[in-house]
Amino acid sequence: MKTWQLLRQNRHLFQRYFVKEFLIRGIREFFQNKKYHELESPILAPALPQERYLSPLHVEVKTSNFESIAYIIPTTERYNKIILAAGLGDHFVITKVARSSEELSKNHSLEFTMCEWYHINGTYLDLMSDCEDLIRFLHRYIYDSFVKEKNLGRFPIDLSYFYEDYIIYQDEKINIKYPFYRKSVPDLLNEYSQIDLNNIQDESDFRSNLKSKNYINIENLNWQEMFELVFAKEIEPNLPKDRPVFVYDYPKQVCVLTKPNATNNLVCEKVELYICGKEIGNGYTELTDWHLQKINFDREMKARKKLNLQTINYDYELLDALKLGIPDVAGIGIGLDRLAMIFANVKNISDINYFSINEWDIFNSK
Amino acid sequence: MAGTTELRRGMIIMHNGEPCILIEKEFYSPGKGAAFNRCKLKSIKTRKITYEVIKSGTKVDELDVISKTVSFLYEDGINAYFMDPETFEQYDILLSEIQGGKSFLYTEGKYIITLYEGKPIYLQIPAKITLTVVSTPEGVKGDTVSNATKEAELETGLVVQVPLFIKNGDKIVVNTEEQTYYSKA
Repeated sequence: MKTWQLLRQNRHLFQRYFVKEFLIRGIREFFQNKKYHELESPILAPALPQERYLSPLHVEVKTSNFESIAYIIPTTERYNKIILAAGLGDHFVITKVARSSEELSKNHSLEFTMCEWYHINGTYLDLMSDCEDLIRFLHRYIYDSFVKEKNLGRFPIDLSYFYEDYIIYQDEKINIKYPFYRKSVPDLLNEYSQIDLNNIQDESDFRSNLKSKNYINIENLNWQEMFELVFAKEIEPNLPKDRPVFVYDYPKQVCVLTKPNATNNLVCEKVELYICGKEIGNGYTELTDWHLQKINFDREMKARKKLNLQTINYDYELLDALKLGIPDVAGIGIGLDRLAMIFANVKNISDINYFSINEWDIFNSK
Repeated sequence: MAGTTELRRGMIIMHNGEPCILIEKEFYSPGKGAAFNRCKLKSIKTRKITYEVIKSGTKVDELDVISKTVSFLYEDGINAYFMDPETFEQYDILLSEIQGGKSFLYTEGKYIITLYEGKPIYLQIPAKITLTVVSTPEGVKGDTVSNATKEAELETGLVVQVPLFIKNGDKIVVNTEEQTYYSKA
């Protein structure tokens, strides 16, 4: 049964679909209070940053002006940085983005709603504070919105699962008081995998280390893939769930658009926000040095070629913007579908979207 | 050999030299990173559970199994009994090996059973299943906009919380993974 048919018979289910609507409204209010501008981003782009694991969707454009492919943006990053070079300053964007995925699952859809913001003169530490403020604000905002909706009497609304300072998600009680946990990747590697980042810089050393820990099928993996494997197998499942967690300082090998950390040259200033084991956000102190950015793009372009991945049109315009100069800035993207899943307490991304791909008639045809 | 896109519940793979049933699989792709599959595997010999992360794009060693659609006959508290409606062949499987025990087994319900070397080793329960309410107190009249719930016993003995408008004899859709009410059928 499709969602619209289900909703016709089960009016109480509307509540979970209202969450994303309230989230979007709340985010606008939050950033307006901070005097941020809102950028309306295009959803198509002629070129994208080179990143080895990016799987953008694209459309074929045939007009009398040109024939080319256009990417459906997987993130708004290129537009944010270009408009920063123009001088817009602090701003946020809420838009749909799309990413190809080899499988659609309860946490993955082809398209999703993203909020990105760029904090001028900020670093990833400021992004962590912004996220704490935003999550707490939204928690309150959603509750207030449901109270208003309940008073209107149009839909059955359940307020029983709202608690001050806590989010209930599945069987977890997530404390959202200040501060959220902050854990660096080098510390997490030490704590959960007994790996010292200093000792695995060489790919073969990393491989021997993993072999001694009984990892199998790692012969053909490169450094980045081995890191992702350790992270997926030993770190991510063990991240605490009783509070949101900021994981920060990622190895430089897996960072492309991120500023290197000044005090530890093995890592870059990247932060990811996890709530209840779900990856919700990804941000950086942005790399503003165009020369370094070009080196990273070239490295990633070569890696894509080696991995036999689709070529992505090189983003010269973004490099031009960096050449002219953008201010020191930190930027982050938050996946609103996953955040809505947490606030609505549902397990499946299709349970917070009225129309989801797994309801297309062809979905189960294979 | 099979690719990771072919990983599915109920398939049998060789893992560390042992045949294992894939009990659960979750695809996982970081925002910016390689994609993986988190798998829960159960050894056929020792019944031991292991968790493995398999990188997308790698090959897994799939073993030949037979999957059949069977209908549920009955259970005796220890085993559940099924029949292939075409050959009338019967199969039994320990209730303790079935997700939810007998909670999702209803007479003439259709299930997919996996046979390895001729023996039934796994029963796949659909993600959502429709069951009849056999016992639930009457809802308070005029309370249809309220959000209170009440207990309802279903034909399989499973008890779930349901909205007040559900009555005896109603068919409801149950989410089998969470063992919760999903909607009115």
